[in-house]
Amino acid sequence: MAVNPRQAEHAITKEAQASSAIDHSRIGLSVAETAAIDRSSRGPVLLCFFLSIIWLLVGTVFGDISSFKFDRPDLLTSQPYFTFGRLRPAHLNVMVYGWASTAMFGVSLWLMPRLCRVQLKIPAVAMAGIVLWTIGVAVGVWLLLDGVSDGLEWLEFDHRSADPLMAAGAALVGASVWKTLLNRQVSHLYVSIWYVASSYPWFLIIFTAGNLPVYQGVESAAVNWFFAHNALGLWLTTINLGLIYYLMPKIIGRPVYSYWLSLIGFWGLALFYALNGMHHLIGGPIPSWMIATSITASIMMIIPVVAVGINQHMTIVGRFGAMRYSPALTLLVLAAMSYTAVSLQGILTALVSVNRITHFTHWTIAHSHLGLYMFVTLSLFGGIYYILPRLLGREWPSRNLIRAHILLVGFGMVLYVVALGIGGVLQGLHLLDANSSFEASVNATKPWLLMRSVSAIIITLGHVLFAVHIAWLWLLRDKTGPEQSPFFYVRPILVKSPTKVPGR
Amino acid sequence: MSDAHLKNSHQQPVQNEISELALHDKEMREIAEPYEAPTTGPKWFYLFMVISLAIGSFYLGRHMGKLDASIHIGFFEKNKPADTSAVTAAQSPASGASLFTSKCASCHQADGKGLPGAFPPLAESEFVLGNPERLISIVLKGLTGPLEVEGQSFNGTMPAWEDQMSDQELVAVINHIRNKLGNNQASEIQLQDVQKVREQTASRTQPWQADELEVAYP
Repeated sequence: MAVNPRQAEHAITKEAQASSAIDHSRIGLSVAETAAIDRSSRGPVLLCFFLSIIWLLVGTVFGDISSFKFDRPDLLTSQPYFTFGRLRPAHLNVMVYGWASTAMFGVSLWLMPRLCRVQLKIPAVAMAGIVLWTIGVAVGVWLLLDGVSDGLEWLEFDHRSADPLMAAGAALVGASVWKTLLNRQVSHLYVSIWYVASSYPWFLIIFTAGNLPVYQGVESAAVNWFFAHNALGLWLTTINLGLIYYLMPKIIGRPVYSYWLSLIGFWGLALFYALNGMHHLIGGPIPSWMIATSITASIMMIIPVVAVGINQHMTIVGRFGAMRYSPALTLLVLAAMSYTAVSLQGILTALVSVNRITHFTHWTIAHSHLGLYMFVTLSLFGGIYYILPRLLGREWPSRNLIRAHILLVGFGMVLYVVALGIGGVLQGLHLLDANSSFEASVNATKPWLLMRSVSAIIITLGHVLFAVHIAWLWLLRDKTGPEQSPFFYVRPILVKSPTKVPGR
Repeated sequence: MSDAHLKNSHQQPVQNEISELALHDKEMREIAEPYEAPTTGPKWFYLFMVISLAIGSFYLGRHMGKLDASIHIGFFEKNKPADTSAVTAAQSPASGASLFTSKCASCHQADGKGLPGAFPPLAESEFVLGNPERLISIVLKGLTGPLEVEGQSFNGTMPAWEDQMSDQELVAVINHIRNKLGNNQASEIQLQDVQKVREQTASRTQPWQADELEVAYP
């Protein structure tokens, strides 16, 4: 175990850690204080969630059309901005930067004050950051559809106009997060703080490094995948792990299973994930040592992944029943399981023998959706289900809409991942077979691509229901009042409520 | 939240104007903040960690190679030994067949019969089967202008190959032309022959004309 520099003065033994962690939970958070903390972050968080839901719907439309084009190649080809080469990157960028990142700003701005036991610092700066970021994303998407692209996956946004705005936006939100952290009222840092706080400097480093227009040829490809993989590993993953680490034990009222496993999970991720990107270039003209290092780091990811997996499983085990009452918990547990699943799949895919088949096939698309949807998006859905009622002071109006949403997006995405996974392997085997024509590899994927389009429709329906539900919750504002029994709130996270509330 | 209830309760709102009832609501919906238990977790995990690190180090040591720019072809050699050897043989610098395919066949055609009116044939051609030094000098310097081969007339230009191919490659491709195309059957040339002609014609910068060749290499 690494030696903590503060060990000399504090002598962090197991017992000291125990009392420190337990003290931490006792550090006064009266209900009034919690309310004040939530109020301090209310504006920026609500803005983030509002914007992210809009991006979610926009990105869904882009993704759907891109998917349908595989089944009907002549669909919407009359206008250049409807072509696959523009819609598909628009879908990716809207989902990563518009939907997930904006919602993650909201999650981190809500989490940090609560974890630090202090009101959100410089919320106006955070607000400005969110606005800048959103303008950046909007400009980037507009230019993408207009045909202006940097031409590198995950970095398509124009590096002259969109990227500087986005970097500035993330820096401002990060400033607010870090200012809050520096003013914290706790001495012990809860595991979620590590993840959320470190995400901001990490993201700014990789985003700036990835977008510098100075790379040529092979180094450009290497930097491209350094960024793309770390955007997942050091940004999308970290904030959502922080969210799961906070909400899962909070909802079931249990401590996180092991502090030490949290440590290994965090530092293992920080050490190994950053080296993973080059496994996207196996077979490419990259120096052997870069590929080998990257594959080794990918295999080593099994350490933090298993650590986090054990930690979260042991936290929830025996309380899975609570999922029936809490949509947030249901989604977060699914997301945590998907994190383990997608990481193990990623390790498998990084192995040369598997990569030979799956590289350049739809398998990769299935894998990235398992990560970005089943893990990141479901976790953010869970966070929104938990956070929004607390900020708006009223409960989700319809249990059935929540149920429908979870079932649609859950099963839709399982169908998506399974279909594209199978289609991808078939495609890869055809591509490897010298006696098989290229056309055969395309024909082999056709039924699976059709299935993907079906799942896209199912997921879209889920997103529409979610947006409708949020709008309903929003518009309820003036309708809640004294006539409603306050004890509706007794089990605020109920999906299966024992009593039906009149008027709902 | 509920003013009526507040009035009945005979209590003033506590700090921050939050009524007792609202506080009650908050209390009901929030469970205490989570913390981490100081458990170390299962022992097998730490063993698993050590084993993983050992496997990782072994893999890295075995596949990393040197810290230089060499690409990682080595990854694939183990999987496809037959294919790689075939590729190596085909791409060997001294393979006359592959040199012919890549450098000659696009004009003289794969069967060496040329195209009537455009490119002269190599199969059964007197230029190929005759004086070997004449053939070497044509390949080295190129050939231009009117030309008669096997009763057909041509008027084109063949480029010079002296800077494109090494002496060994020239030997290989010329022997291939003289012995493998059509019914060609002629003596093998040696490395010295090519070197000799290269020296003899070192000062020449122009491609040959057919009549010049008659004089220089009868």
